[in-house]
Amino acid sequence: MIRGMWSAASGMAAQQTTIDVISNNLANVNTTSFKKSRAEFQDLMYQTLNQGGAETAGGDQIPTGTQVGMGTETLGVQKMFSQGDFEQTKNDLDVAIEGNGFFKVLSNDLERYTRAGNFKMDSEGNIVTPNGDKLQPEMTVPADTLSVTIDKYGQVTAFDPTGAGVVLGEIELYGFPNAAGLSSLGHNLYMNTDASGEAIFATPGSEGMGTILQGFVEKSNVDVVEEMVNMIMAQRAYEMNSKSIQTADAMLQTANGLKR
Amino acid sequence: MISGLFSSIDSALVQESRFDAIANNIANANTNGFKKDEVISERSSFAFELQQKSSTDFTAGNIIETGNSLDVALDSPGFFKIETDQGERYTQNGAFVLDEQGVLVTENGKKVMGENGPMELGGGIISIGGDGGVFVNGQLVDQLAVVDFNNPQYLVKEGNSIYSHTGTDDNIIQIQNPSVRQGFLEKSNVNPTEEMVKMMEMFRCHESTQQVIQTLGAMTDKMMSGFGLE
Repeated sequence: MIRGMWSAASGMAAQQTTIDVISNNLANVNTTSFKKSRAEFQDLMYQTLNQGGAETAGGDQIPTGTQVGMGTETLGVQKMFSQGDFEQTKNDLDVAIEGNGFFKVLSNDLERYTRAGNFKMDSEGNIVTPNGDKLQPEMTVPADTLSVTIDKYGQVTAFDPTGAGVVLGEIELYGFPNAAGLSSLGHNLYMNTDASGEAIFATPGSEGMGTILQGFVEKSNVDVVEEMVNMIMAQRAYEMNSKSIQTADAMLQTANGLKR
Repeated sequence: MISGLFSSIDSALVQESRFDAIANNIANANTNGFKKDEVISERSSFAFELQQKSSTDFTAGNIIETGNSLDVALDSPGFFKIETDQGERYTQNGAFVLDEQGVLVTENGKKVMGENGPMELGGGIISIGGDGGVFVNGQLVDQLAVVDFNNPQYLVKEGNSIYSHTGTDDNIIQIQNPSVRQGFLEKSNVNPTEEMVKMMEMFRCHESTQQVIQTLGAMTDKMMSGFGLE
């Protein structure tokens, strides 16, 4: 049968993946510290119909040969860790990372990483994520605290009504050799994988690491215009691939029509 | 008459190969660094044989901005050199990533070669200069190896955006000062309008061969009945 029909089918499947990824990006346009993904494709294997350099029946040499491709496949869906916009909230426990790095939290006793710095306090004064996962290293804000300051380098200080400050600890940041290899778990959490490498501890502001910005949250890095343009492109590419299938169908019909 | 039948069939088969190439081009309209193929046919010196050959059009694709620090596009002609188990290979897909050791690799895990071999860049802020210099936290680490070919038709597509070179070494040109753009990607050079027009034209050619074959069949019929053999 006609090979091109399957190439076109692979093209349609690829565009479907693109739409899935774009839809998820758009759905998370207002998610704190959400990082957009993009789908990547590569061409599939090639079938060599005749080898370049081979001799034909007529004694000529075929100069380049004939290679026909078999379509496309999804290579991967890659997270893009570019910086999101900052939104000022003036909330003491909202912190944004300006630059590289992740916070470490403990979720169901497992180490997880996040860039969402919209921390809260639980009933015991622990600093937790909105899902209740404790920020590592754990810090407990005393009951009589009036305000909390967090400096550029992650030092957390609590002030009581008399104005006396007590240092609660330091927020740590973690980097990865390959952040794009992290596995997304949902709830703004990431898990390290073989592809990402082991987490590397670093203090905020040290080489290659970002600094901490109190009173801000990092918004999603989804660019709506870009996603819309990509969506148009994916939709049209999907349509074109379906035209290839229709053409292949009509060609087979033509072949069928040879015998009346 | 029978030879006319054979060349018509040959022609229909060529149209089918042309279609395969067009469908593959369209399927890869969004594949980074993809270069379109075309199947053409020419009459060989041997009487009725139609010879097929495919050629790849290496004109540059559109360059789009992604803002991702590991996306690299070549603004000048050339290919990135990568290392595979089978030896040196080449690619124009500049969407690179880091592997678990922090080594710069293509998205299917093949090491990207610098002038001094694979490059370990993990953990820092990576920037790539306009001449292909690779910096980590501002320190020059290596230079991206970029090569071009006197005759690119010696490149064979292996799939996965990878080319292997079948020519001799003197066909390879080392590019000393490539023009590299970080945060950009070269998209596919497939032009959808052109492919749709080619598809329409191919389809009608295929239809006409059907007409020729049917006419030849009708003529044979007539001839047979003329001789009273029916």
